[in-house]
Amino acid sequence: MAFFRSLGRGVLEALGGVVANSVMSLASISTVALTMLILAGFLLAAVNLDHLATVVESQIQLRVYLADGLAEEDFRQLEARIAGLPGVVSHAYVDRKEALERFRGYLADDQGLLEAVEELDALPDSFEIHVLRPDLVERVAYELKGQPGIASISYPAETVRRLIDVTNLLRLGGLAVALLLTGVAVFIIANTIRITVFARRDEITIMKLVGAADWYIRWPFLLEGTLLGMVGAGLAALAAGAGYRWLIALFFQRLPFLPLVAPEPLLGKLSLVLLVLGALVGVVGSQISVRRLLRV
Amino acid sequence: MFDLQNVTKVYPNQVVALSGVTLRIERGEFVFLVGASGAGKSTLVKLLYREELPTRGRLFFNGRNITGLRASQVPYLRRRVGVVFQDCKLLPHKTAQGNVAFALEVTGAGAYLIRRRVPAVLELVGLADKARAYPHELSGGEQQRVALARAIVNNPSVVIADEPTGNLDPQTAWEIVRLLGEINRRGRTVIMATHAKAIVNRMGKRVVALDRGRIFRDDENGVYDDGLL
Repeated sequence: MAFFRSLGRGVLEALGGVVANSVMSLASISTVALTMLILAGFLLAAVNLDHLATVVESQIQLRVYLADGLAEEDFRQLEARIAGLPGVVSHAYVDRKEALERFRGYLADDQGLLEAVEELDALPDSFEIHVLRPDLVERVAYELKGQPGIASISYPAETVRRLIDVTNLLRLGGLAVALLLTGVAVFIIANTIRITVFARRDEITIMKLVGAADWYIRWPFLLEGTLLGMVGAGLAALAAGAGYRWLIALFFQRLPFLPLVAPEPLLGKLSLVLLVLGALVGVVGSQISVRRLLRV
Repeated sequence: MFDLQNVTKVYPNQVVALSGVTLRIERGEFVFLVGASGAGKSTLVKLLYREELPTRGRLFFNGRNITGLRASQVPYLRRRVGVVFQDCKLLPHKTAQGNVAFALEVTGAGAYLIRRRVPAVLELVGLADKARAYPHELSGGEQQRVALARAIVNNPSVVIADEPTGNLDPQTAWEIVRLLGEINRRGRTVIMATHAKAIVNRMGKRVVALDRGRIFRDDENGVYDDGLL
């Protein structure tokens, strides 16, 4: 009974604190929101680059472009050679017509580019080769290099490696920026709570004198800080969600072959992460002020 | 009830407020702490409700050494000690009954207890008809009565008053002290720091006189004698 009574009081006082201190509250909420939004941007970018790397890696691992006018005999020999290489799981022949067809699928809208590719005959016949593990790609490529009938070999291993490098860099940079911004958010919330505590210092003095328990005095302030953090994080989650959906729609129109991560359930998880982080920022921020100012 | 053993208090700025004070206050006593400004009255009072900790020496409350009390235990000590100050420390946005009820609310008391106790203590201090008045609508004496009501509403076993009449005219001051006497007659220990000579002499209670941080007189039925200060 007594617990629920003080629960109700705490919620009322926390809300009262937010309202009475609206300018600072607004400042903390927007700071937290901005922080979380930037963090969300980094997270979404990292998740997508990760996804991209995986997709590229799992797609055709090796493509062997064939020289023009290859004789039937040479073609068979080459195919047997490819099939016999250690690590090769499967291979498929893609002739230029099919290659163009696929390309047409990607770029249905861009008639100009299509015509140019068609005219230049830029997509020769090729073999798509799947190997057992990504790290075998380079060895297979090495074995095939210089074989008669092969015009060129392309494999995305280098691309994948670069992509992973970029992703790692983004993660590291994102982490540093996030830490810095989280620090700022904690500081802003601590300041807001400090002002609330200061505004109610007479009441706190009396509470202490008549023997209010420590947690009873503290917890409305902690609740206020948590509330600020979570509202800010919630706003950031909404904005990040809307922005991401918009970007996905945009990319789907312009670059449909780019493998992006679907909004669901990604955005749900992201919101959860942001809310928890926002609450944490609020708790830590208010705890700093409350501990410093409410020493018994 | 209170047992101070060789208590010394040195503030961080090296001011020695109390040095080697040994004092015993029994349950049900009425004790005046007298002395000039800076004699150590306020510091002694603050030690009793554990606003300050002694630098050296031991301090027992009901047989328990409260110098080693954990911070989380302090609130429970405070509930057994009612405190009144010169400046009343009332909340301006709460009515008289609101101020008194506040002391009960923050200790987790239920609505039923609050409805029963608040009017009773306001009646005791003679403010039943001003229960809904705000502090600024009350005279200095009335404000101090509200503070007194708040100090006893938790039913503490001791009331500690630090210069409660400092801002009041002699007649009003006397009424406040008479009220403290009434509270004492109903079984609570009362400790009052003051330099109101007339009141001390008229009450004829135990007087502990402090000078420069030391007790130099402790008399039953004492008087506040200038000649000895």
